[in-house]
This record gives sequence, C-alpha cells and structure tokens, in this order.
Amino acid sequence: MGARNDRRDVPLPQVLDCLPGPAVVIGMDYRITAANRAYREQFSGAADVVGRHCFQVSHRYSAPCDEAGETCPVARCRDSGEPSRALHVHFTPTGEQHEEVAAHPIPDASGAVTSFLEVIQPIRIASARPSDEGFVGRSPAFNRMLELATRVAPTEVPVLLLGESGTGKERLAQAIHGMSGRSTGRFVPLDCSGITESLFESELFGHEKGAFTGASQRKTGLVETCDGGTLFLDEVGDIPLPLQVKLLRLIETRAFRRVGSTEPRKSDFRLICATHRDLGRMVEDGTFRRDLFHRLSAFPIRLPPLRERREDVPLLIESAAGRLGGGDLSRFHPDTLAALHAYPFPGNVRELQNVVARGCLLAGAGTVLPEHLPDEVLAAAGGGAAQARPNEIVTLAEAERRYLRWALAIYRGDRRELARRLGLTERTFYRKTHELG
Amino acid sequence: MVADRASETATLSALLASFPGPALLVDLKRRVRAVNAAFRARIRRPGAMVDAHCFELLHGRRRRCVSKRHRCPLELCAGTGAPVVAVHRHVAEGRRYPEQTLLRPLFDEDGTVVACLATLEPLEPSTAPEPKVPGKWPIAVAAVRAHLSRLARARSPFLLSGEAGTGKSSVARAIHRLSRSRGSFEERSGSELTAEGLRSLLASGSAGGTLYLSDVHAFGREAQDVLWEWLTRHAGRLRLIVGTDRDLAERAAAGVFRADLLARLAPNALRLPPLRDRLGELPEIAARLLRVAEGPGRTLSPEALERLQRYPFPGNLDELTQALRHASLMATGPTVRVEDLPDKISGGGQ
Repeated sequence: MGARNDRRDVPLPQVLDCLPGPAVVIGMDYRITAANRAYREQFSGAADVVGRHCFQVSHRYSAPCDEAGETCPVARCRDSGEPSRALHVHFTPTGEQHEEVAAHPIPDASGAVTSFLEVIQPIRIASARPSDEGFVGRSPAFNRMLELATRVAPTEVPVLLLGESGTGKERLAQAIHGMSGRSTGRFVPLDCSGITESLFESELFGHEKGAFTGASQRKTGLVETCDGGTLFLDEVGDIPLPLQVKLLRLIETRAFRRVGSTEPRKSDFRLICATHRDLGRMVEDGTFRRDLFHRLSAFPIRLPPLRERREDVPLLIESAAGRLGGGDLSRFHPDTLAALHAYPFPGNVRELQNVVARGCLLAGAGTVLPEHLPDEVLAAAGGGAAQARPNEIVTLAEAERRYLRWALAIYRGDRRELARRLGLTERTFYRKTHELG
Repeated sequence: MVADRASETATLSALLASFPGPALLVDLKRRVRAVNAAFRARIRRPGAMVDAHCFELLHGRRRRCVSKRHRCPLELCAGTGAPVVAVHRHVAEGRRYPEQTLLRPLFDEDGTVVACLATLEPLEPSTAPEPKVPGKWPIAVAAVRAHLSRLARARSPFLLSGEAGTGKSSVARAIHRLSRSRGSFEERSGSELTAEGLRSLLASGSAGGTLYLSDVHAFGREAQDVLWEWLTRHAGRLRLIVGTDRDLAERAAAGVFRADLLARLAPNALRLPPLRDRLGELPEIAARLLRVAEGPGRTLSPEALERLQRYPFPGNLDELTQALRHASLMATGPTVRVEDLPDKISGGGQ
C-alpha cells in the first residue's frame, strides 16, 4: 500500500456500477463523461457512450429534452443547484419505457456545480407502448399520475385516488401496493358503495359468534386479514356519517374490535382509498367528516379521464386489440380510428376496451369498419369522418385531414420523423395537426 | 483521475447521494473517503466524518476491530475481491442497532482493490404505524397554554370548541395529563354514541379519569337529556370534557340543542383558534411540523411559505401536516419549493 499518506484515487465508474440501475455523469454541455454498465447495456448495446449527448442516447433526440418539450431534470438541477426528478419515456432494448430520471448536482471543491449524476429507474407498472397488461399511456396527464404513484408507493402515506369510473382506480391501487414494501402482504379491497352500516362494520372488523342475529360463525374482518398489507376502500365517499367516525378511529389508532367483542385488536396496514365524488364539496355540505377527509387526502392522485389524454387513444386501441390477439392498428379502417378519436368516452378506458373488443369481434378476421362500432360512438363523431364509407368521394382537403389523423394514430415514435415521412417541414406539420383540433 | 482531495470528496459524496440508504466509501486504511446524507442522518455524530476511521464511526471504537468470531468485512472484501454481506451491531446516537452491511470492492486498472463501498440496511422492525398527527399537540396546546392549568385544577365539565384539525383532542389529553388524574383518558364521538351507550359510559366512569366527548353537537335529544341529568347530579370523580366544531349557540337558538345544557357548559368554554388566526406563527409551526416529519435539514423556500400563508387551511393543523408531508415526498432536494406543495395550495395542477 506504500507510504503512510499515499491515497489511492477511487475509480468513479466503479462507484457508479454499485448503483442498482443505469447511471451516468453528465457535463454542463450534456455530454456523458462516465457511464455505468447498466446504462451502457440499456442504451447502447454495451458500447461506450462517453462523449455522446445524453438526450441523443436515451431519447434519440437531436436537442436537449427541455427544447423538445419535456422537462429536463439536468437543466432544472443546474438552475436550482438541488436534485431534481422527472418522468421520461426512454428508448430501451425492449422498446419505449417509462422511467424516472433523477439528476443530482456534483460540485467541485469550491462548491460550484460542474457536472451532474443522472440515475434512471424504470417504472414497471405502466407501458409507453401497446401492451396487454398494466397501464398504457404516455400523455402528460398520464405521466403525471404515474409520477405521483411512483413517488408515494414506497412510503406508508395514505393515498386517495380520484377519478371517474373506468379510469382504473383499483388497478392503480394494486400497482401502488405492488411497488410498496408491503407487496408480500395482502391487497384487500372493499367496495363501500351501497353497503349498510351493520354490514360495513362486520365486513371491516369481523364479528364474534352470536354477536347479532345470523352471526352463527365467528368471522374475521378485512382489517384483520390485511395485517401487514394494504387495505383498499373503493368509493370511500359512500360511507355513511356514523361509520366515518369508526373509520377515523381505526386510522388513528390502528386498533379495532370485532362486533360483539370487547377485546381490542391491532392491525398494521396501509390505507388506499378511492372515490369518484368531490369529497371537498361533501365536507362543505356536511356529509363527509372534515377530520377524516384530511386524514385520507394526504396524497391525492387524480386519474385523468380519457378525454384529457386523447393522445393515448391510439396506444389504448392497439393494446385493447392486442389483448384479443387482434393485431395492430392497420386492422382498423382510418374512418374507424377517426370515429374513435372523436368520441369522448365517458366510460373511459374500460369503455374503450369494450368498444374495441366488440369491433374486433364483429369484424372477424377483416378490417374493423365504422359500422362495427356502437351507434353512440358514430353518433358522437357526428357528420364527420366517421360516417364516411370507404368508397365515398370527399374533397382532397378532407382526405388530407383523414389521412393525417390516421397517420397520427398509427405512427409510433418521434413526431419530427413523422413530419419527414409525410414530406412536411416540422412547422407545417405542427400547423396541420393543430388545425385538426 | 481526481487530483485534488477536496474535489474528490465532493464528487464522491455527490455520487453517494443517489444511493437510497446510508452509504460510505472506505479505503483499505479504513479511512472514510465519503459518506452520504442518509449516513450522516443515521450516525448523527458531531465532527467530520470524512477521514475518520470506519471503526470509530460505526462501532465507536478507537482501534480497528479485532474479534475471533467476526472477521472485519472490509478485510474480507479486499482479500477476496468479492462482495461481502455482514450483519453487525453498529452504534448510532449512543445505541447499538443491528445492520446489514453490503460491501462491494472497487478496483484500480491493475485489478487491485483500492476501496470498498458499503451500504447499510437497518434491521430494525418496520416502522410502526404513524402516530395520529406527529408533532401536532405541542402546537395546539401552545395556543391556549395560559388557560390550561386553571382548567386542569377546576373539576367542572367544560366545552372545547374549535374547527376540525385545531387540536381539540390533543388539548383534552394535555388537560388530563396536567390534572394528574389517576384514571385513564377515554375519547368517544357523539356521532357514534347512543343515549344508552352514553349512560353506561358515564356510569362506568365513576372511578375517575377523563372522558372526552367529541362531536357533542351530534347527540340527539335523548342523549342530551342523559348528559344534562348527569351534569346536574354528578358527584363522581370523572372529569368530563365535551368538544365540538360547530356553533352550539346557533343550534340552541334553532332548538336542536338544549339551551340549558349549553348554558351549563359555556362558562368554562375554551376556543381553539383556527390556523388562519395564527398566521404570525405559521413559519415556526410549519418548520416544526416539517422537522418532526422529516428530521432536521429540510426547509421551506420563502415562496412556498408565502403560499402556505395565503391558503385558508379549513382543515387547520391536520391539513397543514398533510400538505407538508406531501411536499416532503415530492421535494427532491433539501428545499421544499412551491411546486412540491399540493395543487390546492400551490395553485398548480392539471
């Protein structure tokens, strides 16, 4: 080891190799100065990436992410001097994938930031490409939801999921459970809508034999069952007032008594609640306890309705079709896609899945035509493309609009690339897509 | 690769910052070359950690560990050039905790081990369920401190009013504690008690202790009669505190709450102020709640504090606590910024 004061330099790339996921050190000019093995394997097929631009390697962009319309955690980190995180869709060997990117500033001896460490963590509950399982989407509203869910999942903080029916509240609750330290414990759901007071109590807390008429057996309640796991209360806004105080007590003390028993029991669970109601308004109206509301709503996550994430519709159509072994978007007639695009889907993703499944079934092995869609979808699409038939004569301008809608619906990948394929400048491309509304 | 020592330390510490748990880099002379913030928070020891010996920091020893039973994992890792997992009892805050330590060797170009990177994973039982609202009660109590000892000495029943989340239950508990009563503290809500339930509860309380009846406005006529009867005749040792977040005078005027019952309770009423009436204290209150939730080291940016001061907080301390917890989950650095606050406070969102 040599002389007493001999300090050996610590090899930086090897420190990076100790991190569980892909990691790179990036200079002020977005050029990579060091990368770990996981990063090289994910983005460059193990080839060296030192000297290349980070946005080029992970996004195949030709400019930094913030110039391409995404948040760049490195730029934010540079501006604030503090770590920053963002959710991005990256190119990986298995296709496009949601990943959380964390940037940490690396100061020099004087404290000035000279480079950044970027650590990447894949988010496995969602997919940015058509997939027949998990959540599918890549719109900003969807990504925001995903980011919040990923952030809160590993903690013990109670979560409140807010969303219309069909937006996937229970599936998100399950995904949060799956990403938490309690994933080996049970996920216990209870739908609170239309449940009577006495039933709610015995479902949740259990009862002793003979506690009430009909209690011929001792019953273990859900709270007891989910010890060590996650309790999911769906439609929590439907719980009547007298039970709200019991729920509040349970949350505060983690203790409960079986109906007909005086012996207090403890259960260690994480609570996730969901509702489609406006709990804040219910508090104002006096139908929901304010103290319970604040206890439940520590971390609200809004599940966006489909009409707020229209750009995900093609992905969702393809996923729904794929679920039936129905192949890709080329199976759908452009007018069918246009009609699906125009329809607001009040029943959200669940309705879309049903509509697509029905269409695929009716079409058999052939192309899915507008006539294979339910009437309400066609009616909502109005006098536009949806009612057109393949052999109808339309104006060239209309044909261009339809073709552009179709191209937008089926094209996977960079919009710049699509503009190039259509023979348009980016400017013209954006103007034309904008005119589609 | 890195010439300057200080700059090497800075770089290495920054790299370690991205490890989720406590991590440190130790060279073969057992000198700590870098630690991360999670390690500092774990050890909580004054003085410099870089250049200290690992046995000082982790075991509180002055000399390197020599034991027949446990071989030094650093020695093992450097000797074999392979990762080592060991469970050791490490010292933190004067106590010894079992921790799983994973050591990974770092090599130079010739393939010799130069240092080891250690990550620690505490083996304590998983975090207990969170207390009601951590850090809330001293803040709630501070607002009415001047009245507490008087109320604790007086044995007469009294009314605690205040909006939801102002800490009525905390204050009731504080009074129970100050009264040095030998009995226990029990809390029940008026919205779940029947008249019959209330009667038996009051009867069983004759041994002493404190009964805190929250949501007293929710009592029906019959339960109010039970309460009135007890108040007029009571000679037991039970201390009764009733609480509400509604306006009882209004209810009495409307005929849904017994006016004589209210008159009986009113002389000893104590009102807890809503958070929006404590705006001057808000920076201190927020800092305190943040410290309780997060440990030291996280602060609010002036802009974030300003947003908090502009928000009316209908849910008072509970809502503030939840907002800060939300913020500390969303914050990526030591400073809580406006965008880390819940949308309803920051004004952001979709």
